[in-house]
Amino acid sequence: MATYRFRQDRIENELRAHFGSSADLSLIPIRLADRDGLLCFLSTMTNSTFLMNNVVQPLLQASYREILFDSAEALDSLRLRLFGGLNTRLLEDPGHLPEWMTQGYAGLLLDGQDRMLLIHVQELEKRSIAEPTAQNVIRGPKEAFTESADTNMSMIRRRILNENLRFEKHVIGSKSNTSVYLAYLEGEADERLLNPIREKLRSARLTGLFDSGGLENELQSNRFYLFPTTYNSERPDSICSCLLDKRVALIVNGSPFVLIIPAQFTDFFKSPEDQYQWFVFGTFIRLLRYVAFLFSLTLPAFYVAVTCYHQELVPTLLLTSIMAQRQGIPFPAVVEMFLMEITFELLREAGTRMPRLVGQSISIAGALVLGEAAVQAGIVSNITVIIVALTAISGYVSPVYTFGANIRLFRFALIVLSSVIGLYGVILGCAYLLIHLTRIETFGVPYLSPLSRFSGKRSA
Amino acid sequence: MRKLARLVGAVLLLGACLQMSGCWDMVEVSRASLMTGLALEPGHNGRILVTLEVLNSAETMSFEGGKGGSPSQLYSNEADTIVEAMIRMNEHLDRMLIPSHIRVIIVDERIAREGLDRFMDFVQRSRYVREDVTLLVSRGTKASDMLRVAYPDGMYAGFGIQSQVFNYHNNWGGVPDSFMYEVAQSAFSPGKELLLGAVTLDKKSDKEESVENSKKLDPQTLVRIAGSAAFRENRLIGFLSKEDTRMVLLVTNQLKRTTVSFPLDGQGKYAAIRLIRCHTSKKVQMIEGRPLISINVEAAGLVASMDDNLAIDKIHGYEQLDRLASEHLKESLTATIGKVQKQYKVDVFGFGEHLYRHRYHEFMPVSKEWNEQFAKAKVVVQVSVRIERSELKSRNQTQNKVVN
Amino acid sequence: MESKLTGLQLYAMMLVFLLGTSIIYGTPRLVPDSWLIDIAAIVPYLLLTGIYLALFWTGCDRNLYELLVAAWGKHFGKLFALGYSVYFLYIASRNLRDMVELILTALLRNTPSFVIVLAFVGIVAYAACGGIIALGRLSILIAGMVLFFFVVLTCLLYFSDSIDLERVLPFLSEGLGAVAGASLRSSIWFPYGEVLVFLAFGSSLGGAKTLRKIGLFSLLSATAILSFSNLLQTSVLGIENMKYSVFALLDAARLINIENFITRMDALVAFIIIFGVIVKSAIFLYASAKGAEFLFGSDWRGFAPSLALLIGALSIKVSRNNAEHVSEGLVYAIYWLHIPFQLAIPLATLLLLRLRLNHKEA
Repeated sequence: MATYRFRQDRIENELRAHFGSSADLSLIPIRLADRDGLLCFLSTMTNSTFLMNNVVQPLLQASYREILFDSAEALDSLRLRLFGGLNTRLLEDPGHLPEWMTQGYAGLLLDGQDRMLLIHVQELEKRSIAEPTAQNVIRGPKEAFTESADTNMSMIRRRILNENLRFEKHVIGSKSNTSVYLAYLEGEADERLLNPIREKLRSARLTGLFDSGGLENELQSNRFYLFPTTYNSERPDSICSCLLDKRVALIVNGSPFVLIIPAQFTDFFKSPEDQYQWFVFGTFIRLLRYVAFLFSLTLPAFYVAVTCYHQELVPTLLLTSIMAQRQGIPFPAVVEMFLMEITFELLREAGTRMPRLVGQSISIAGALVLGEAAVQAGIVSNITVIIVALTAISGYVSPVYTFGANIRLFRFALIVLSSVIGLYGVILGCAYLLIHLTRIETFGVPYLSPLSRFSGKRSA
Repeated sequence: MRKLARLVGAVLLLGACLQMSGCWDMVEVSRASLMTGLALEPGHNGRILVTLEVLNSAETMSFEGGKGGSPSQLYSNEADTIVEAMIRMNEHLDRMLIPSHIRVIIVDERIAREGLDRFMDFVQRSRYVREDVTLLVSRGTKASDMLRVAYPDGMYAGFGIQSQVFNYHNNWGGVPDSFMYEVAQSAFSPGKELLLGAVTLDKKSDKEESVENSKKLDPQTLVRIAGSAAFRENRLIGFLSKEDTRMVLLVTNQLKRTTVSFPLDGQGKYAAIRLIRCHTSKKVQMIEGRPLISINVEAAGLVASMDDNLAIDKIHGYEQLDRLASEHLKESLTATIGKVQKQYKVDVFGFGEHLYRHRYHEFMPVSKEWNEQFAKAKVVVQVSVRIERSELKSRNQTQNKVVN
Repeated sequence: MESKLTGLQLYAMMLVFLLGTSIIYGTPRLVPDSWLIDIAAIVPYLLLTGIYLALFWTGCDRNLYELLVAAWGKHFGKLFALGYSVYFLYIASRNLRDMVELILTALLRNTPSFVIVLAFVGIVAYAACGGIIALGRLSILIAGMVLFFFVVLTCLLYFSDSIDLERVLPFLSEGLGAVAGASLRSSIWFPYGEVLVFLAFGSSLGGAKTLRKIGLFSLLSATAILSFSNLLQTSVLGIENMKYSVFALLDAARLINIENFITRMDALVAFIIIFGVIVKSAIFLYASAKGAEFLFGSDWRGFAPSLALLIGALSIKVSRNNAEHVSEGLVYAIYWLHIPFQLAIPLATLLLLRLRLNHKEA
């Protein structure tokens, strides 16, 4: 005799009460060999074909001669015979049923049993594997991660055919219960690195997690660091080479960007392409990126400092040309620079958010109106426009978008400094940045060094 | 203690904000003008008259909106020191002046004769005046007139004069480099007297100089290089001709390239040799209280032109040319040294400096009267010119007609 | 957070420390052959450093302040520790003054000095508060940069035909004795004697053996680089010219002129000195804050910003004009401060420690 708790109508009422009048709650009565039963699941967590083929049809078509429905092992035999290929478990406490249902399990209740059989029927639609949008290469694999953590894990697993690859599941977000998987190579990644990360994941106080960016903020060692301490990538080949480099990956369900901990300063200037090409060219390009980074930070500040404070540092002909261009411009050099920089930030932001169809008009407006016309109207000088354009272009050279985004703010601080105390201010600003870089440490690994604290090897 | 640290941090931040209050060194570049030339003349009552050439940048970069006016303007002021005269230039001028791009400083002959010391301290001390400013003496004309020249390509006088001196020095060598730097060097080096370039003006008409003149086919006013000015203890004592200056530069190893024309047979036929590398090694000793100076000049060159039909397709032709060139050069060199010894009696060649550096103990006793010692020194000159090639043709083309 | 500095970090720190301002100013021109002074000073300062190394080794990796207390007893030891703390602050302020003089002359003429100093001490406090390991990492970067800029300067000077080795002659015009005398009078104490400050780091240094090896290596490389810098300055400017020039390397850098395009390289020199002085001041500040921690008990990080402000204030107040600054450095500081603090007290401390150890064993 089934206990009161597992009575069918009671379960139905409890579920209806719990899920409210949620349209995706499906409670399907079934009949197995003269026994009544109930199949309950959330229709949005599965699709009907899967359910039909893997659950309903076996249930309907099986012969139940060997199953003793009165014994307590009935569900076990059902499990083994009918659902051997699926992930199943037995549920003792019906209070937990809603939890399991939200995770994609279907509950099978049989009259007379005081346990429930949970069958994993999660079959969701996902985006197919496409080209990366944020990190492009010319030569190299063109697959990118998708929002489904399972697909992402499979993309990693199929590249590292190593039995030491581990995926640890954590659940983060008190209200959203998002799954986060910690991936590492057993034997390569150090326990001294893994344990603090596990600790941090356990103690994360988030209510909801919808993108790896939210997790990044939790894992950042110090909120005031100007540089990101976790590296993110859309590309499986980057992530895999980092895993082989004794690092740890965090795959967040729902986000195509996978995190790598710990990050180093040099990571943000590496593109996987460098390794697939001739080493001299790769080195040259990497050097170019560093120089571009430096340019994008200091060029406007340098220009302001040199034209306003240190005219003796400029060759005479160049200075004459700058002076000739600046005749009649109503703003001081600093204000001009700020105007153009902010305008460019506006342009950039608008261009990103604008719907694709309307996007063309932004580029035309930007180029014509703000560049040429402003110069013709005598509001800004030609050279300011050139500098702002150069700065903006160099800012995009870092392969990781978030890196450039953070540091852009520092550029403004440098311009202000240079407008007050000239080149000395720029040098001090750069010194501050340098000191800041040497002080950053993520999980015990200094930001600037290769990962040599935990081992002796370096990766390319 | 951490609280105190935070307090101090806040104070520092506030201090950083304080710095927004005044940009003490800021110069608004569109309301400033570059100073590109400086001319020093004697003024009234022993003061100094400073004339500045101020650049009009829009005119210089005429594609940026020039209206065809003059690229520079001249302003003058008088005061007891140069610095004061320069700073007070705003009595006449509307813009702020930026002195760091001065190209040329022209010192009037009269001031040079009184002595440079009075005026040179400022230019050496100031961080604005670069050491490679060209310092020239104006011979026979007022220094400020030298800046009143309009160059045909729209360049301002300071740049034009500097380039003229530079090119003449590099190509023929009749004028020394004349950097500001040399004044300091020769003031401090014992045994070498200062030699500066000298310039003068060739005016075709007495009309006021204007930009219109630069648009004519025939330049109305030309700056002419007038050799060099020799100084004794920073006082001008005389001018050396361009040919003599060239020989001085040869001895001090500052001659880059030059062309030597020498007679071939005394009947009006000359050859011109382009010397591309010259090196002089000196040896100076004191022998029985009298300096013995031996100079060894080695030069390599090529044949630029030949009036006579020397056989330079054969070895002996080259040898003949070598010999003729070396003899000519040796004569000129000996003549110049003798002239300087007798007429000017100052060591502009730097023999004393050479003795100071290599034989310190022989020099020190005579250091105070080195110029007199130099005047009675015995000079031995050795010249060897090696001509390497003759450009495109070997023999003289015009003299080798085919006889029919 | 008391981990050890690696060998490379310690080497870089000591190198930047020694090069710091001396690479710009050059050795004081007490004799015409100033570039020989550093070379002549090798033996004396090796002896001086030997005293420090022996002190460190005898004290078994303890802090300078702990050693003072161990040797002189609680009261005198603490008194001396206080003295050293203040002494380090004073030297830091002198270095800062050197840099401020250069900035005021070469870059910013009209800006009041307190503005320049205030901005700077903020950065120095930030650098020191990062801890000794972060300072070590910073020094590696800065050592690389300083050396790089110096090499670039040398190459540019060479290519603009400014180097004329004849200007170095006459050689030894005043004789070897004058050179040796000058080295004893000035070069040992500044900058080489300042290496004493590394003793205040105690256990972070990684042992006496490392200190000996790295210390020797860095002293010799610093001597080589400084002598080369002096030689370069002399061959570009000339002995006589150099005597009256305040910032020798800056004057030399102003002569760079390649094809009229690469000129006006003053900024390179400004880079070198700013970065060098940041590291130097941060090291002194850290040592001083450690002393304050030893004396008063609270965490050194709390002392650092206040002490940084003190360094700034001292650097403005300490001399009225440039001549006073220079003569203070060449005469008064040496007799009243450097000789006691760098020679007398360490030597006495060493002897006392030895005596006490022998006494204990006996």
